[in-house]
Amino acid sequence: MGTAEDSLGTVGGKVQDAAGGVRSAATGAADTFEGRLREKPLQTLLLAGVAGFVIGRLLR
Amino acid sequence: MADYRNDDDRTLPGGLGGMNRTPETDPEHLLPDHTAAPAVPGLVAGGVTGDPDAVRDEIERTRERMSSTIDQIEGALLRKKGEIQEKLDVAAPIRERPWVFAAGVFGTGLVLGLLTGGGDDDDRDTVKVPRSMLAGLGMEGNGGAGLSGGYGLSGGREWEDRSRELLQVVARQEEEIRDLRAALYDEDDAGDGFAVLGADAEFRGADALGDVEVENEWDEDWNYDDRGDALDDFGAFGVEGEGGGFLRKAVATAVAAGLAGVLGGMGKKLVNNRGHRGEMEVEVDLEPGGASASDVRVDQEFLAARRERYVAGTRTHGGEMDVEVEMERPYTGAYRAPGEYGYGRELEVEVEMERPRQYAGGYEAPRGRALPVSPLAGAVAAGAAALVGGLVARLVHNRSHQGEMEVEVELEQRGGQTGYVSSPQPISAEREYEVELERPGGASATGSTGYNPANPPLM
Repeated sequence: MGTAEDSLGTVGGKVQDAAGGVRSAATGAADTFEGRLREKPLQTLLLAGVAGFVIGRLLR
Repeated sequence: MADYRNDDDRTLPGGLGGMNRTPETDPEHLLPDHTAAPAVPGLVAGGVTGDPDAVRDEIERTRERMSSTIDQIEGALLRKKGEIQEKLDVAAPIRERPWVFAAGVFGTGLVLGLLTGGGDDDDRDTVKVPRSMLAGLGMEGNGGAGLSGGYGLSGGREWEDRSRELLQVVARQEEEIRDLRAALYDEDDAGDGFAVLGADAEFRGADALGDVEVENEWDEDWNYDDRGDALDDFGAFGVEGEGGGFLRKAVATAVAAGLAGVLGGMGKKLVNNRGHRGEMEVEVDLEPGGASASDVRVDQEFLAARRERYVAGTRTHGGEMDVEVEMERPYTGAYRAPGEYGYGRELEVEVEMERPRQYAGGYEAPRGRALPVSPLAGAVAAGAAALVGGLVARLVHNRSHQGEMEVEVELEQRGGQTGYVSSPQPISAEREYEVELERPGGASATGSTGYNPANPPLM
């Protein structure tokens, strides 16, 4: 019984760690994107527009 | 000396007033009173005379005021510069709300990508197919069943199936052609097509052409691989060099027709002139236009003499009588005598008395005039012309070949094959191959087999 709880706890911890990693990565990416957007807003917006256009063509 | 009192130059002391300006009253801009005494080295002009410390203090205060003013000006300039830069900075709103702008631009690109790029419908959904190919596939006008818009097939799998079927059809056709060619060469042994060349001729079919491998007799260019056997590939079948073959036929036919016409005309002329001595048939109306018979003067003496001869029993019938016709009135008919363009002149007409009057004394009726063309003579002439024409045509056409045999090859689908629809080019169409059979050099005389390139085909 205790082994199961330990296993569940271990799995839960791993899931939380993974979620935290994903969250931190997303936050980091967002911060990076935001920082890049603040630094070079025009270039970043241009890339965003091109990416949207390509995705739109692919989705047709 | 220039007078600057009324000068409007702003740079001059006093501004617009020039030298007539209002005296400065602002104590900030006023310097302390100083003496008008001439400058003396080591002394500063001013109200304080002789006190260097006071002068230094005054200089220091002035410097401070100037520094303060410069700082204020610099601050104002910096503020103005900042305001201008802020106004000119288009990226400032982006920096303020980066995610909003990013989402807007990305969405705009996405919409443009979804809406633009027309013309992909043809590339993705349908493929244009020629109407002839649809007709060959038997799918034209069925209003659906895989058709899109009447010209295209939807779905790549269906096309793939069609392509495979067409490949199978092509393979079957090639196989049938091989079989037919193999059967053709095998049937050469029977000698059916060589009967016209004589029963003694010995032909070996494919053996006469050498060792031809049926499997490899077709190359990629759809030509007969003769392996250098000195044959003109399909020239032996009349396929290659068709233009020359047809041209030879046309020339031969034209020459034969011309000779036949010449011979026929000569024969007809000979037959017609056999008993007529080149007479010309002339119809003379002796009473044209109501003219009286008195216009004709008849040789009465000649007639009297003929009557006497007939009465005497002589058989000189069929003689000639000269009749002199004098056209007193202008001739209005269609006939115009050769060389005679004036009317009212004498016209000599030679009239053959074919059937004289019946006189007593045992007159024997003369033989009637023969037909213009004797049926027998005409038939003989026509036959001779046809024979000569045929010989000429044969000589011209068979100049390099001995004989020919027309073989009609009809390619049909082999029954019982499922999934077969049709081919773009209907395979049931007849294909004519003109097979010219060549006699192996000396084979008919010696009985040897095999084709000898050194001995070309007989004429």
